[in-house]
Amino acid sequence: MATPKWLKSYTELSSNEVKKPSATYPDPPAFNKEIILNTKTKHGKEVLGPTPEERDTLKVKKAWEIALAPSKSLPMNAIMSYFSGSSLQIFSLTMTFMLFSNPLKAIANVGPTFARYESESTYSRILQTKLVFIALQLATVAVGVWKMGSMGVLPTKRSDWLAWESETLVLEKGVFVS
Amino acid sequence: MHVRALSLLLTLVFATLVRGLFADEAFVVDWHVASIGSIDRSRAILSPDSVAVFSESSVLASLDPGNGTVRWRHFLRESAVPRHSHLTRLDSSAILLAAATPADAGVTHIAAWVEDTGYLVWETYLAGGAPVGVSVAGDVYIMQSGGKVRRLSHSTGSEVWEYSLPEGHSPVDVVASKRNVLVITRKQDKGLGYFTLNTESGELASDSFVVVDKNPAAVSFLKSEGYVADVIAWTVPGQTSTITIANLSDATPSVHTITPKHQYASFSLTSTSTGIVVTITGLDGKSWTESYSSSRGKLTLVGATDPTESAIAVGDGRLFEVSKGSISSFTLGSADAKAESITEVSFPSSPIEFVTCSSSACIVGHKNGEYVFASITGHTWTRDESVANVVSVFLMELEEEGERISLGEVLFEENAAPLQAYIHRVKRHWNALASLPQYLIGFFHRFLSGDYDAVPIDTNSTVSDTFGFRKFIVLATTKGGLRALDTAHGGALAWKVDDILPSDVIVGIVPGDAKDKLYVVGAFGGVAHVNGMTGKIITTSKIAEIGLGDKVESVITFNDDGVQYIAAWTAHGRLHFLSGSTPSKPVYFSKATEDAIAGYIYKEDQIIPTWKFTLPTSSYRITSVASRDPDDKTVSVGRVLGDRSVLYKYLNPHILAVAAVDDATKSAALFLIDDVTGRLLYSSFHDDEVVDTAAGVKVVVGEHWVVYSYWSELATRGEKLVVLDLYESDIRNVRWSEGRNFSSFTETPLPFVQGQAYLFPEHITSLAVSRSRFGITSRDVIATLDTAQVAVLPKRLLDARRPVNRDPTNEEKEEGLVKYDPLSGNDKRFILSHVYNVIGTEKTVCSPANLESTVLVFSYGLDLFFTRITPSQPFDLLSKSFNKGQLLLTIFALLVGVRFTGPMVRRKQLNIRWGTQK
Repeated sequence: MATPKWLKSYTELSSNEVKKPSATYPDPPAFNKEIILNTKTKHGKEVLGPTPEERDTLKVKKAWEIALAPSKSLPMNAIMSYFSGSSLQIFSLTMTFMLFSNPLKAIANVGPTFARYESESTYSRILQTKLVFIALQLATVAVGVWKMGSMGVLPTKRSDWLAWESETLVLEKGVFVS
Repeated sequence: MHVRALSLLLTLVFATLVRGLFADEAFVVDWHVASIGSIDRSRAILSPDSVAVFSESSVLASLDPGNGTVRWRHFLRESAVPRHSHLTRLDSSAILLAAATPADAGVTHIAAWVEDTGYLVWETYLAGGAPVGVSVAGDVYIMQSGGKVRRLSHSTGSEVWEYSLPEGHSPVDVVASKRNVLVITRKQDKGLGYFTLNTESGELASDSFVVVDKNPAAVSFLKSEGYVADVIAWTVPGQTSTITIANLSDATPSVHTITPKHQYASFSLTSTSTGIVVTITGLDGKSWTESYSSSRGKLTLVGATDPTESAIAVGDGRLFEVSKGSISSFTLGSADAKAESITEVSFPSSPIEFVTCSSSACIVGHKNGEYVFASITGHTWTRDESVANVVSVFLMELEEEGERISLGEVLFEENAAPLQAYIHRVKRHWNALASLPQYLIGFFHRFLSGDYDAVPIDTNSTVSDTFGFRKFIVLATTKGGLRALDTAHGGALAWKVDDILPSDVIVGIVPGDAKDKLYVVGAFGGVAHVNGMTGKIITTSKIAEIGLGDKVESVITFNDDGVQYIAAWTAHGRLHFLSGSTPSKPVYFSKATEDAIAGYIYKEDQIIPTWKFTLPTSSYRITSVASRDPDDKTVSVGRVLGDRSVLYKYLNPHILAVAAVDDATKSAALFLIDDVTGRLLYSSFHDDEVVDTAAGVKVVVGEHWVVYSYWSELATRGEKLVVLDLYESDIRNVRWSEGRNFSSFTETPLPFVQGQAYLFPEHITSLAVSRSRFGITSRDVIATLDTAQVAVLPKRLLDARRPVNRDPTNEEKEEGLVKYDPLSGNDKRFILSHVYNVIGTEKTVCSPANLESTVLVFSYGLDLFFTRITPSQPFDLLSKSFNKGQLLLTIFALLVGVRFTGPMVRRKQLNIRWGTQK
């Protein structure tokens, strides 16, 4: 059965049905006919589009953007941590919790986050972005740790370990006869 | 975060500082036993409607003859010495007490008191010696040891006249009548005689000294006044068959010699409406009376009773005879021995020490310290005054609930044949059912009120309550008995034992090897092993190897390597172990004497003196020595400072705090020594103060601190309360004892001592430190005051680190420090005893409850006072105001809500799955 004409005209770009009337109208400005025509489709036909190299570059660029995103919120987090003080309030507590939970969640989801940009050819470059991403998330965690430190909940001082110190064993037995 | 946390803590601290006793706790958690002390026959006035007593403990009291309760009492320790006192009736409504003052025996304090109310009518201080004789005939006539006779106005106490005895006369007594005053004296070369003074002028009515007995050595002088005869009687040494009696009421006093029917050991005189009655105790211990009528200068024998083993006493015209279970009264003078009345009275089995009677009632004093009032109408009451003379105290823990069955019965059920065991268990449960209603009532009562004190505990049981507030306070008394008081029932007597160590004097009472066993040890080596739950004596023994002339001085108990040792320490420095085993390892003992501390080592069953710590100069004397309670537990080895660094506590268990005073320079000193080596760890001298050396220094050792107090006049008059906090080092985070074993013999650094002095407005008579079960709760210092109160001072207030003259910095605030205020304890909320008048307390013991937050406090001396304190708030106990009803209602409402909304939610979810609901 022959393909109906309407189907052909809808599905095939190169079909004569949609062919533009011959150069009656000029192309719109900045319309590059070459690029579009040189791009190949799955079906081996040339369509308009970027080359795989360009696409990879684009992906890596995009991945870098995602990787560097935490660095933008980092100063804000730091400033907010600093100004929220070291008191125990619901606000600063939530914030501190966020400083830990969000980065850790992000680190745990680092695979799915970058999966869209990953391919055989970009593997090594995406790995770099992943590492930077993890490093920046860890930096956020570091802010959280600092925040906890300023709140005094980190066992950094001698007194924090006092409970584990045991009494000195006394060798002699002394009895006062009252 | 730590700022917040610590500010929360700080809030708690301040909350504690303003902590007081809640009104609903007063009279519930505490109780008080008001005592008067031992009664002496010569200082008890008994009349049909009153009992007035000046006791051995310097308490002037009036007892309600109806029930024996104290109507009023005055603690006259500061103004009257019982040994040199005379208690007489001033008139029908007032009594008179003349006594030497404790501060100066040459001064007599004489005061008249309204008998019904205890109000002072008048009082005066007289120089010229202790009172020798007092006679009331309208006005008051008093003779003093310095040879002065004074007449004092009956209504104001002001002196009317004064008469001084001539040279060579020593005062004996004074007998006053409406007509004249007879001053009885003794002159070395003439003998016993009297002067007659003019009542109005106080001058000699005649110059002559009338000799009534040429023997100047006449002794056992007795006087009896009233009715028709004012009589004196005396004996001459070596003569036990005759008594000389002078009737001074005649115009010319007559002297008679009577010869009782048997030789006598002692006698007493009573005037009656017709003559006199002599009550005589023979050499064989039997007593009888002889009645004499006095008429026209003659003394004629009108009747005598048969000697009897019972105690007898003469009241107003009646003879009373106290035998085992009854008191009988006889008409005096009648020859027939028919009793007027016989009243059944259950007297204690303890021997009778004295009987003193009025016309209708007697007070019978028993050797065990109990005083029984028995009237001829059959009305009786008993006062147990032995608890006013306590030698030693032990707070005994009771059994846990169900502990008794878990021991024997459960073992039986485990080992017996199945059927037998089953029957046994069913039986046991069936028997337990009997207590179910009581349990249920108690449960709901407690559940609704949240008040564990409201739960009725059987007073006869020996089971502890849930929180361990119920204990038995076992008191060993100077009367030779034991008394166990129930803390949960207002100090009710749980059991008593009299004369536990026959012919011995109790030295101490210590817990035995088992939980419910006690050892009672006497000075002459008597040892009784007692069941502390029931008071049953298990065994009695005697320390066999106690030397001749040696005496047990104190009883000690200590734990070494998990073994409990009980030992008696003798005056000759010997040690006798009572519980069988002796320590295999050397044990170091230290003992305080008047001016030194001596150290001993016990090894290979021998005690060897090792060191001696003597005071700097010979004028110093030790007033008190304290060591840390061996059962006191340490939870944290350091103190956390504001910057979260640590000052390590100096936790040497061998610290002995020795407080001494110098009577010559009126100064005080404190020494901290190691009781194993005698090494001086710290000393502090209070030289530039005027210390009340008689009151001495009171000292107590807490965890790593020492608190001591003394009264001084400089720089500010008041009780100085000094706290010394001991740390391992003044450098933070430095702990030299870390990872090492502590030995007193190695050259360990001296403690870093931080001290601070506080001023307390009242005289402190004793100090104690609270001890909780696990040592987590902070410690309180408990002070008994001479204002008849018991006060509590939180150790957190008595802190040496409080910033002086400036507000605390943030770090110091986090540490819980408040600005130093020299005046501590000026807050009446610190008074534990609230409205109780707790007089004469000399010592306080603390014992932990089962709850970590709660400490039981027991003060004794004369009065007994018991309460419980929560030094860090009752953090493990729901407050009584906790609204259980609301909680239950909320839970109920939630349950109802869940019950109704549950199906609704399920239906909705189902519908969503089926897609029938949007």
